[in-house]
Amino acid sequence: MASTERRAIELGPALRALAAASAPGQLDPPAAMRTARRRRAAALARVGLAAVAASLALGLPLAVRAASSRRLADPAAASAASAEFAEGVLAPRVATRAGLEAEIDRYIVDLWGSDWSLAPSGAGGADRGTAEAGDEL
Amino acid sequence: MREIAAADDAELAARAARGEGPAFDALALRWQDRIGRYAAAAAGGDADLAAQIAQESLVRLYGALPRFRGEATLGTLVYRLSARAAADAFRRLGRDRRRLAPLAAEGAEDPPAAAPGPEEAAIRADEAAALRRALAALDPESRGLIYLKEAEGMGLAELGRVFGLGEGTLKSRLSRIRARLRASLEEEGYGID
Repeated sequence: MASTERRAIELGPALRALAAASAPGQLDPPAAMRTARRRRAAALARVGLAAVAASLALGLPLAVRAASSRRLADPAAASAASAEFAEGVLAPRVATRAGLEAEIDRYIVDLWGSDWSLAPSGAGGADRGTAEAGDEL
Repeated sequence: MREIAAADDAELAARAARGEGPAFDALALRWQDRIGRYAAAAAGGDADLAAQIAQESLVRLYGALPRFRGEATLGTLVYRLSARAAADAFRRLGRDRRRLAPLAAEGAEDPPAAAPGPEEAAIRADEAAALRRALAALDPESRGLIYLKEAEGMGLAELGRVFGLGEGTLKSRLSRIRARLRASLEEEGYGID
């Protein structure tokens, strides 16, 4: 009669042996440092770009708003910086000051919402890849 | 300042965080076997993937050290980063994390090494193949969890910090993992001690 006795595997030592058998050999710390530094530099560059974009997103509509409060009826006479924006984006769509302000608000919301890197807080990973949220142990 | 060889993990971590390359080299050397074994366990027997996960863990460790305040052990940080590196690696590969059956099947048919080392000698080839198949049915995090608990003897509190799980959740997950392993192994005529 065939034996039905089960052979017991001791889980801890068996798992350790399996892992050791397929574990990689030597790792490459200098390469790891280089990769981490490259990611950090890229993350900083993204933060810089985000700051520039945020300045444009806030500054340009504010400039338009300032100019338009005086010269809404004549966008072409607005300052050189705001004229292109006012003419190209806003003037075709708004006729009143209230309409202009609503359009500016909509523009800002669209811009903030269109790119995760511009999100004010919590949604982005500005330095993702170098460290992660919750690693402050 | 102490010599690097005599420095403990906390000091090496602090020096590496300040950009001292030799301190990071020493820290990596000290941890590479443990990182490698964890990566291999999570990878489910895929040696190439294990190597990627281990190296990525090292990259993340270097990036995370400036934020390490020493309120947990360095091991907690290392394994947490390794667990995330493993999860991300599987996500990137787009693999079905619950099935590594082809790998396990290949491993099962491999002839045993001519002269197994001391670690491999702790488990017979047929047992290893059966266990590998059973592990292949788990997701990478579960493989990492059971590995740290059973092979590295990690306690529930630290496991909770590594995986961000409460003690109750951990206990029930570990229980389910053991039950699945036991069921798979019993089909092949093995039990679990």
